[in-house]
Order: sequence, then structure tokens, then C-alpha cells
Amino acid sequence: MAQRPPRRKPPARKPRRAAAPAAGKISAPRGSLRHDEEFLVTLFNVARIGICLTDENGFFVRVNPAFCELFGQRAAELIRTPGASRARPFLDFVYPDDRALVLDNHRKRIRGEPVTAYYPFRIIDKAGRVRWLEISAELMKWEGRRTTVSFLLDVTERRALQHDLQQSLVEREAILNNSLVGIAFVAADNRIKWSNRTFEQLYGYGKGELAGRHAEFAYPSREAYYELGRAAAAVIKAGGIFEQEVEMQRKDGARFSAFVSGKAIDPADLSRGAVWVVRDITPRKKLENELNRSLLEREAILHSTLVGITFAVDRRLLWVNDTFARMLGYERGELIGQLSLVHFPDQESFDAFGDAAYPALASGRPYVTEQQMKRKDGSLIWCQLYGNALDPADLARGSIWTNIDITERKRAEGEIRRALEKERELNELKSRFVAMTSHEFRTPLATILSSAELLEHYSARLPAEEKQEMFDSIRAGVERMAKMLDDVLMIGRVEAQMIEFNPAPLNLAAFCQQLADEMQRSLTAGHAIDFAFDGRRNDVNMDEKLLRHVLGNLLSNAVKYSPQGGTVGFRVRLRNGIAEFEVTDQGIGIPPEDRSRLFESFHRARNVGSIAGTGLGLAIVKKSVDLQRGSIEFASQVGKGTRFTVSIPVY
Amino acid sequence: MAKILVIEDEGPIRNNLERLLRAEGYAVVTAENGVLGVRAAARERPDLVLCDVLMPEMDGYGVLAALRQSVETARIPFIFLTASADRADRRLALEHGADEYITKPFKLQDVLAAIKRRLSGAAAGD
Repeated sequence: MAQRPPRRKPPARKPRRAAAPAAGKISAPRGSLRHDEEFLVTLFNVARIGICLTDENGFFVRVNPAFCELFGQRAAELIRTPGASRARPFLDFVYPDDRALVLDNHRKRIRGEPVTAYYPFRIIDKAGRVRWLEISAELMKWEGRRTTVSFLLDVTERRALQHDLQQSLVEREAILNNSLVGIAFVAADNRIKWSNRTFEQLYGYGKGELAGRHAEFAYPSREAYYELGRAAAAVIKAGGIFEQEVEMQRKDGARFSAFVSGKAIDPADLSRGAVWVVRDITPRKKLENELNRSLLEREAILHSTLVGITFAVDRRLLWVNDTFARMLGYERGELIGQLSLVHFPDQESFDAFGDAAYPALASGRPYVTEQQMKRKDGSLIWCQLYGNALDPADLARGSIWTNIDITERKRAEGEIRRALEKERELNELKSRFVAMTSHEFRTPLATILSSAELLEHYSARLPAEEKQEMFDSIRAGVERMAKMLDDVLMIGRVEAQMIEFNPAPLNLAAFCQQLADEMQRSLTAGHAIDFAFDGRRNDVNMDEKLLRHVLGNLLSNAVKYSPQGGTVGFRVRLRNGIAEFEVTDQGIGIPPEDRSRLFESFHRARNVGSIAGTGLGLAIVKKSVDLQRGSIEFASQVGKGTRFTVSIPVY
Repeated sequence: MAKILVIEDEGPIRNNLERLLRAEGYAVVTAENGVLGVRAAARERPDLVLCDVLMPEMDGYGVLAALRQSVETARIPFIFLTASADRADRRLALEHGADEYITKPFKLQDVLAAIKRRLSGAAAGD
């Protein structure tokens, strides 16, 4: 409140006569100043402003009706009249706390010192209520004495209103300032009209520093400001709330991520500006980035393991890692969402797996198994699976599976097993060899030795033809042993893979004819060879030695196992690069139970009886056919005969 | 004159044994497998049986068991002729109740000695 030096007013004209003071009203003057005085009297009487005149001691000299109303007193009670000493000075009505102020001002005024022209103070009215008044006072002469005229206005209600308003403004300001989000009112000219403390702090500015600043300060670049501005204007003009994540810039140049939302104060009148709320989301962004990174890292780890990993719900693959997809020859995208049936060999194995795995998972145990799986290209691999339910009590939440490709291990296992099997076979072969040599070598030796001894010691008593028979039996025994040795050596060399396939030019027809002739010569009565060759050419490349093993054994078997005699058929056909040999007999045949082991070394069918043999012939045949990349088949009927068919490619 | 039954599937050996035993003054009956051998034993009531082990139809053990089961043939001395030199086989043969065990190839004098031994033993036992 400005102060001004006291002014000396020209002394007021004395009223012509003293008005009756008791009425509280001034009577209208008469005479030359009548109009002015009438005006003043009217003003004094009807103004809604309290007016009082007080003497130097502060006692009331005159009060107007409005004043009486203010103080809740009648004029007669206030004005000091001689004899009525009950009247109270002005100061009596003043609220005790304010008396010093009022008195001080009064004294200063009297002394002619500068006084606050207009100030508020409190009184206590007749009802005892405190009322706020505003007072302005002046010294004047009244009826020849120094008198103070005071004008008093009741500001109680206004002050109350003002106080409330102030309070609510303070509260609002406090709320806005203490808000966790930055708030700014931006005028139509894009300048900050007001911003809260948080807003200032967000951007690193001091209190009040932003007022009037162009909003561009908040952005890292002018382009960024315009870009956001364009996008926001469209929304805001339409009355909507514009929301966006945007990079902002602090006073010190540091950037931060903010979530801003803007709204017109009045969409109908954009000139009133907009309110903007800015939230710093850097921590959230940081968290998000960290989460993303850790997710990415986890993904990378899961993808880079050597183990296939899947997550399945209701047997549907919801997630697979790269390794798993690669293992099965798929892209990840091709597998995700598919039933895991896609990588099982068939429906049956899929069902069986589910029946075995899910009860185990439900019981809270991991399920471990080895399972064959089907790759995209249809090939099968072996996997070791390790499954765990996310929640055994609720399998619908899914299960995690790790898959290790154990095809190699399985193969190695198979190889070891085969090697062991081979070893076992070799052992068995050895013992069969020992058993065979015992019997098959000792038998001709017994013949030879007994014949020799008989010839030596009993020669004189034996007829000549018997002696000849014994010489023959010695020769036959030796031949039999020699043949056995050959066979054993041959099979040994074949087993040791010492026999090589060496095709050379061969006249097939002539070779077969010669074989047939040799066989014919060794035949006893009752047997016959029926040979036929069918082919346009007969010069081929074949391995003569191997072929001799094949055909020699087949033909001699055909004769040997036809003890009742009969015709041995020997047919050779050469066409389409294949030489087909067919040897048929009318012999004892091969019992069904011996057929699967027919080509095993030392194996002899159960119906061979006393027909001598090592059990090596057909083994040698089979190995020789294999070496020539051919195939061998047979059909047989016990007691009726057997037909062997050998097909060998020629070159 | 003692009668000897030779059961042997290998023709030349069977023939040589027959020649030897006849030359030594025995009566000889031959059979070329186990089944025929058991039949011949029942029919001929030989004083001794000389029998191969590995034969078709019925092997030497089968023949021995069959003979031991029948009252008429149970006590006939029984000599195995075998191509197996395996000791386990020899033990098996003796456990089955064979009296002698001759391994092929055999010396003629060993066969004759065994026969004499068994025939005299059997006679003494009677």
C-alpha cells in the first residue's frame, strides 16, 4: 500500500449552527452554501460507507448511519456529550491486536507525520463479532477543533472471500507444484504461460524461469518440435487428447524420454491455449530396455545352445529354439504353432509318447526318454528328451522339453553292438569250426588210417576188389580233406576280406559248358546234368574264380543232396547286363527252419543225414555272389528239390 | 563166436570195421544209423555194440539210452567211436553208461583190445 504525505485540506466551512448530534444525521444546512452542504449531508447520511469524526482524544464527534450499522451502535451511544461520560473512544472498539496500529497511525496523523492512507484493521461489534474494516482518515477542523474524519468500509466478507480464494489458489498451486508430473499451460503463441515446479525441474530450470518461453526449448531440435507440434495440433484442434512418447531435452542438453499429453483448455477457443502434462519415463524406458536386453540375451542363449528346446502346451509347440528347428530341418516359424505330431514318425508313436510322458509330468517328475523323430525331409533321427511340466498340478500351463540329437550315439551304439555281434559270431564260428574239424577231419582220417592198416596187416585175407575199394576210400578221404581245407581257407580269406573282385574278359558260355562237363564226368550212375545257355553275346567281364566258387558249389550240392539221383538243371541266361544262373535239383530240399541260416558258415540243414559236408559251401557261394554285387535266391520243397537263382551284373 | 553190432553212418569206416572184425573171427552185424542200430540190437542180440556218436536219425547217446532201457539189451557192452576229441564229450559218454570210448582216427589194435576187454569183462560178470 502506497503511502502519501498528509495533505492539508482547506479547512471545512463551519456549519452555521451545530446540528443536533444525537440523531447520527446531519441536518441539511441552509443559506448560500446550501447545495454543497445538502449534497454533503445527503452523502453523509446515505453513503454505504461508515463515516465518523473523532476528536483528538479519539472520542466520536459525529457518526453516520452506515457507521452506526457497522459498529452495531446507536449514534447516541457513541457520541460524547457533556454529562454523558459513558461514551467510549474509537479505540475501545478496535480489536485488541490492532489497537497499537490504529493508535500509532492516529498519533502520527495528529503530529503531521506520514500515515498509511488506507489500511485494514479489525473491530469488535456490539454482538462481539470481529469485523474487518478498511479505513482512510484525514485531519480536518471541525467546529474549530482538530478533528479526524475516517471513512470505514466493511471488508469482512470480501476478505473472507479473498482468503478463501487465496487459500484455494495456494492449495491448487501446491497441488500442481507438488504433482509428480510436469504441467504447463501453453498459450496460443506457444509460449509457456505457467508451469509447475515439477515441469521446471524436469527440464532443469529454476523457479519461474520458464514463464514466457517459447515451447521449442523442450525439444532436442527444431524439427522434433515441429514434428510433434503438427501431430499434436491435429488432435488438439479436434478436441482430443494428444498422447505420445517423445524425446525431450533438458537445459543442460541431456535428453530424456517423456510421455506427453496435451489438451486444449477450450477446444472451441484455441486462443486460450493448451495444457500439457509431461511425465519422465526414462526410468521406465531404462527398465524396458534392460528387460528387452535380458529377454534378447535369454533368447540368444536359448538359441545358441546345442540342445533343442521347446515349450509346448497341449502338445502344441508354442516356442522352439533355433537348435531344435535346425535339428529337424525346419525354420522356427514353420514349427511354432504346430502340433508336435509334426516331428513324430507317425500318429502311433505320437500317441504312445503322450501316454507315457504326461502321467509322469503330472506326478511332478521329469520325463526322460529316447525317441525317434521325423525331420522335415522325412528322415528319422534319435533324440534324447527331457521334459518338465511348468506346473505339474496344471499340465495345461505347458511343459518344457530339451532335445538332444543322439543319432550319432545311437549309430555308434549300433556299430558297437554290431561289432560285438560280429565278435560273437566269430567266436561261434570258431567253436563251430572246431566242432566241424573234429568230426569232418577225423572221419576221413579214420577211413584213411583204418584202410591203410587193413591193407598193411590183412592184405592176404582180403579179396582184390575190396583192397581196391580201400585204396579208393583213402583217395576219397584225402580229397575230402583237401576240399575241406580249401573251403576253410576260402571262407577265412573271405571273412578277412582278403578276396577281391577282379572281373576279366570271359567267354561265359564256354566257361559254363566246361563246368557242366567236369561235373558230368564226376557223376555216378543215376545223375544227369542238363545244361543250357541262353544269350546273344557271351563275351563278358566277370571274375572267373568267384564264379567258379558259386557255380561249383551249387552244382556239387545239387548232386550231393540228391541221393536218389535225378537231373540237375543248369540254366544260364545273359540279358540286359545281368547273368542269371539257375541250378535245380530233385534232392532232399531245405527244411523251412534252416532257411534263414542257410548261408551261415558251418551251418548244415538238419536233413543232411550222413551226407558229408562242412557247412561252408553255401557260405562261400553267398560271399562270392556278394563280392560280385549279385544276388541269390532259392526256392525249395523238402523231399522234392531245390532251385537256386543267382543274378550277377556283367560288365 | 561173439557177435558184434557195428553202428556207423560213414560207409568206408563201417566197411573197414566189418572187414577187421570178420578177419578176427567175429560175427558182424552192421547198421548205418541209430534207429536201424537199435532195431538190429533187439533183433540180433549182439554180444557187443560198437557205435558212432554223431549220426543222423538218432545219435549214439540215443542208441545207448534205448539199449539200456530194454531188459534184453541193457547189459550189452557198449563202445563209443567218436570223432570228437573233446574231454567233455568223453566224460559225457561214460556218464551215459558207455563202457569204452575210442576216438577217431583209431588204431585197429586199439579197437580189438577194447572189444576183447569188454567181452572178457562181460563174461566174467556173467
